[in-house]
Amino acid sequence: MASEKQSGIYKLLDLNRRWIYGIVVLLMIWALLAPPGLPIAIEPMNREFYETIESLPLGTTGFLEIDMSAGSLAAAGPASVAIVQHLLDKDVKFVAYSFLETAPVLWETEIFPKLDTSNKQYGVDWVYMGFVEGRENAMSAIAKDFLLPGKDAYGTSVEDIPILKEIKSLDDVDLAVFGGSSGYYQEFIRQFSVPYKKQSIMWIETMHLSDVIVYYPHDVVSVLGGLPGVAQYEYLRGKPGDALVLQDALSMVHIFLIVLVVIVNLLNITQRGAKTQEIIQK
Amino acid sequence: MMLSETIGTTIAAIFTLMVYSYFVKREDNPAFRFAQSTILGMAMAYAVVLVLAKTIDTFVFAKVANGNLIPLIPLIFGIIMYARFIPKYEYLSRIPVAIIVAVGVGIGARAALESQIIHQLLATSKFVIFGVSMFTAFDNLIFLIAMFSTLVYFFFTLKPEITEKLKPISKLGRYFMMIYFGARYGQTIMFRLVLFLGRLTFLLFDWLKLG
Repeated sequence: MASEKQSGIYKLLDLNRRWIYGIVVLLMIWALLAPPGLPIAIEPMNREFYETIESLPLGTTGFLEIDMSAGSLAAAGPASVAIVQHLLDKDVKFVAYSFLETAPVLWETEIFPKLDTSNKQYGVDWVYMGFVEGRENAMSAIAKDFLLPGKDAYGTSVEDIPILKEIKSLDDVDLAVFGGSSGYYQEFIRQFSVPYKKQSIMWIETMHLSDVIVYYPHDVVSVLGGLPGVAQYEYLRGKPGDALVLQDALSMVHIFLIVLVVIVNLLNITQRGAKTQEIIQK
Repeated sequence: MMLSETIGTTIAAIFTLMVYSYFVKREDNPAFRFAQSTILGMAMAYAVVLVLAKTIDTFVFAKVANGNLIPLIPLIFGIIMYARFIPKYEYLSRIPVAIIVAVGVGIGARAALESQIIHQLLATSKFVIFGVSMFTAFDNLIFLIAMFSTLVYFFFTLKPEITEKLKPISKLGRYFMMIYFGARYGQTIMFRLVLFLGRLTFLLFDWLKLG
């Protein structure tokens, strides 16, 4: 079919992909510069994630795995900021670790500056221990002993960090949180959620959502999925952030792609029907 | 904004555009190849420095300085891995590789058995179709049919006469898998769009200062 020259509206079937890329880019730029404010529907699973943190009792302690890469910052950044801020607002004391090498830099530049820690004290209410190499092996070791590195991400000895006198291992926490765009979600479930039987919640990128959903709700009590999940989470928190704006742009592109897929498939079917009729008549 | 940040942002923007020039010209694209090589090289260099600075310094030298000599053992094994570059002693590099694989399998397999097999089986047993609401029962029934038919699809060791009889169920399993892969593909597209959105946001707001 590609070798025949199409006529009229059937030219869409031979549309050069660069036109599609161009329209997608223009739609995104338009939505980013002039957000249309599309309505947002809250999915039950995302509401459940919000309410899981919202209903945490006073005195809850937590362990966070914050892993992200620069490429996935669009979704991972707002997700990490929203989740960490929510935990701080609920007075959850937590120890945070990263197992992806790009995470510490992004933590410093993209997460920490956006947090409101005015009534919190680093080292007392929360601590970030930095990056530990070794993937699952490291995760297994850290779960047993949070003090293993000997110092936090900023070089402070663990002896001088008050929160680490109460929270020394995963046995001492009530909640395990995964906020990452790394591929280490399986390892998180294997090494943190299941062996220690901790209440676990996860933000996961859209691409891996179907891998994680099989663990819901028995091993992972709630899951926040991708950019749409973060946008809904920000909406529920009443603190609109970057995710809501980006979600508008994403929705515009999705609508365009769905319309394009429907039109092209209809054209394909009608063209096949017309060709079949031609053959029959001959 | 400091000058260094402005220069850094501009360099990042130029590299971003060089990478996206792939959409304009695929073959013989020197801009894309240069950006790709530079980014790969820098990522590798960053990882090496981080491992040296954070891992070896924190977990080996700091502990050795405190009188604990045990971390020297894995350091020595790590150095032995480089023996693969010396043909005469290449065989020695298999020892640390064997240790890494063995430890990894030991840690991963034990946990995988519990989380990915036992817990999954236990969770599957909770998909009941009686004593629940009609909607939940229908949902659970679809799940059970999909699970069973997909498992049947992967039965390759049955006798041919049995396989022939199970063909309709196997075909149903294939359709469910196609639905899953389609949904997975859609999720992947969505994810890639989000990645691109992140870069576009950087170009528009951080570089061009349009918002």
